[in-house]
Amino acid sequence: MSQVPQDLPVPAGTFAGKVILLLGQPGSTTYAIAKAFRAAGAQLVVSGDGLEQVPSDLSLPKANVHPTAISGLFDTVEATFGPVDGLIIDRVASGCTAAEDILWKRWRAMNADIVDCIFLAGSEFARRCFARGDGGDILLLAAAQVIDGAAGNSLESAAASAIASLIKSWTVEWLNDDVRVNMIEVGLVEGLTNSISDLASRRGIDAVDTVPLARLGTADEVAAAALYLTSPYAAYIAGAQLRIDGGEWLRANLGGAPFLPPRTWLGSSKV
Amino acid sequence: MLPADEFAGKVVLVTGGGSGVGLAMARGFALCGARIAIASRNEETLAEGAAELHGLGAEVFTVQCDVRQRNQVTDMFTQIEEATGPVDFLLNNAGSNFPALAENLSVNAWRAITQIALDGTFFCSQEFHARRCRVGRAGAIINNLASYAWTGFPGDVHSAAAKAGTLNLTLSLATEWARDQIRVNSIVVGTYPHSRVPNNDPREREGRRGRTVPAGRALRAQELGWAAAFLCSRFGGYITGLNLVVDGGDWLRRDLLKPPFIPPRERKDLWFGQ
Repeated sequence: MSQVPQDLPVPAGTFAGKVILLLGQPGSTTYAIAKAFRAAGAQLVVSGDGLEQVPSDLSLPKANVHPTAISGLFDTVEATFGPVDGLIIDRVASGCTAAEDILWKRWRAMNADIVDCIFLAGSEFARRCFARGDGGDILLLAAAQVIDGAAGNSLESAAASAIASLIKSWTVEWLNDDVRVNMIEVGLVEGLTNSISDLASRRGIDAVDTVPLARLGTADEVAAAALYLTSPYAAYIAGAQLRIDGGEWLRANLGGAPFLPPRTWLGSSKV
Repeated sequence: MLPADEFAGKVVLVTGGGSGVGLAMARGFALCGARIAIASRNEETLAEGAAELHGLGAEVFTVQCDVRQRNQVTDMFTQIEEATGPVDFLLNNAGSNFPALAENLSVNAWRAITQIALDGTFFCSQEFHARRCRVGRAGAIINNLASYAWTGFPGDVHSAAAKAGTLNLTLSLATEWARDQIRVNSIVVGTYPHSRVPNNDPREREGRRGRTVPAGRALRAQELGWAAAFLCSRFGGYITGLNLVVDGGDWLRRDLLKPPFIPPRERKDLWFGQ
């Protein structure tokens, strides 16, 4: 049973006059975040492929992962709305591929899409904040299940762990200049179809049953946390990893299903 | 921050709620319409805290309790229920602390700190859970933590060990009680100078201590209230087992080269490393 908050955790005008750049991806979290920030008064620019349905004040194609292209993206936004006050990057991703089968090209492509993109966009954002002597907020989203490593997720885990590390280093480097960086770790949430839901269906279990709180999260709950973390009300929260997963990661026990070597269920070429 | 009626009709119990961090968190709930119960061993502290909360227009109930005593915890909940109705949210904030070298810590001193923070948190949580289950209602717990729960803290081994235990309680109870719809989270409280912290001067909130934090200032009372209220609200309904660090980046201040190490027993000021 979902208990979806229909209103906002911050006053409606909290982001009035603020420009938020959302580097999104198709899925419920990008949509809900865009909707929530607009409702809270932000001018919302979304950039990414396949985001035509995402509510925004300006929709831009996905920028190439290259310093010039990323800088150009900020230039375009600034030319229309003025300086960017908040940067949100939604890269909730999980995989299901045996490590030995991950091709170098795919490794490079995903790292570019996640780690390189976040590094380039985050550092470009910070430089522009410093240049105008103003602060800003960066919020990064990744899949909770892969943060600490997960079989079949060498790629996604390495990227998510890199994000978790970046927010800590950036916090110490930039917070004194009022550029704040945080992270949301997204668990099982309605409307996010990924390898986890695929795996649940292959194993014949309902993903809901795997969550201690006995329900999936909602994208609106993720958006509510995003609003709070990037608002002035969370000004003292920096370098934080806010996990929204209904307690899914805490399921330690001495039993569990018999261990199957991951390559037996990942369809590895080595089986 | 939250809608003004977010907690209308709800009751929050804040142990150690008469002053400091507990009172700061209580204010956050008072501003969102909750009825507030504050507990403390000290009657004077309770009176001062209640006066402040009354000033915000809140309905306040005070109760004296030593959370180390299991029977007193039961009595406390009964008194609050009779006065205000069942407790919806529990903020485990009761604690005490003082600088001491481990080798000089007496058995009584060790027990005083660990029993308030760890035993007290467990007793209150257990009683809260039982009563929520009895009425078949959801609830939320917030445990007050410090980053030394996982970093350790020379000169504060008693509190650090107790907080580490409390962090673990957050994780275990979040899972044990999830199907009862009891969410359990922690808030790591950063530099928050107030009158009950040894060697801290609240007047220096933006001064000496604040300058040691990447955020460039100390924590403000309302920021604690907002964080606790958010986690207990509908908006935090899918969050459990979280340890939310509200410290202005303080615990992340690793450096490749740190200042020269002064062994704890050679320090003039044990906690401040000098």
